[in-house]
Amino acid sequence: QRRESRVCNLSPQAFKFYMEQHIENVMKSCEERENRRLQLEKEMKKIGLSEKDQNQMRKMLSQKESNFIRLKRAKMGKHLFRKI
Amino acid sequence: MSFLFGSRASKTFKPKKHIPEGTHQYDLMKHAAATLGSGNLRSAVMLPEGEDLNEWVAVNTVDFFNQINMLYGTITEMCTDESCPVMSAGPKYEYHWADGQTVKKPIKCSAPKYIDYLMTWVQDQLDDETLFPSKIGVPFPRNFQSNAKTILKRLFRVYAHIYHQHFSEVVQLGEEAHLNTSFKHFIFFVQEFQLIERKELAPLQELIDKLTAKDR
Ligand SMILES: [Zn+2]
Repeated sequence: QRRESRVCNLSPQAFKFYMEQHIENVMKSCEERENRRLQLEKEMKKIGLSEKDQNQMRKMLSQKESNFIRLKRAKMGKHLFRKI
Repeated sequence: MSFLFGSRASKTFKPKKHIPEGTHQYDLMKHAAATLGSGNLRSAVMLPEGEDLNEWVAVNTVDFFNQINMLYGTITEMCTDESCPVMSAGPKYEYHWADGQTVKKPIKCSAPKYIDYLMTWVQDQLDDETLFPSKIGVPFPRNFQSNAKTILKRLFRVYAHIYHQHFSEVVQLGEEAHLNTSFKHFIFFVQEFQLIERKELAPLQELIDKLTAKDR
């Protein structure tokens, strides 16, 4: 009843390339996310939104970010290592 | 080490007895400094403002699973039933496979078998919509954190096996900086949210101290 192994051969070059890209992406997306947050704060201040509206906007941005990483996870999880 | 493992050692995690402490146990220490120029990983693991902790743990868990899967994929040919008849992390630690669900009684098996069980088990967890919901708006189950902890605890064992039994091969393949970076990211993450108990990390504690020292 055991299924096919999950472990596949991979060249070290492929792993190294992946890791280099991956770490770069981790740093970049962390920075970009923080920038989006700060940008929103700046814009809201500029037009003088009420505290209540500001909170709502913050929630909306957070939700969007959260949905984004969920979709990213779903994509990464399901397709990367399926054997053909 | 007996204070760590004496009476509370779990059934799947048995420190071996009567084996003298190796003097060159951490030959790998001299390579521990090699990491990718990676900016501040310590801050990159922190929960982004407004993010749901479960969502953050979930996406990172999938990430680490992928990294470990790829990493192990580069050394599968060197990790065989002959080279690694037991799933060990140095002379003092040996793991027996049990998932607590379909395999209740721990199985003593070779490292490649153990890792195959482990990765297959993790993939099944990640694919389970009730454990790792992938559709927008579906909440995480109540026991998500404890589930994630079990997954990360088990993934750590693959790192531990590779560091202890295959590090010279990793160096030969020129991927030690990549392994160190992956592991460092992993450790920062589990430390940030206290996801793995200290006693589980013991097989690599020295390395962890070294890798994380300058970023503390
Ligand atoms: Zn092995």
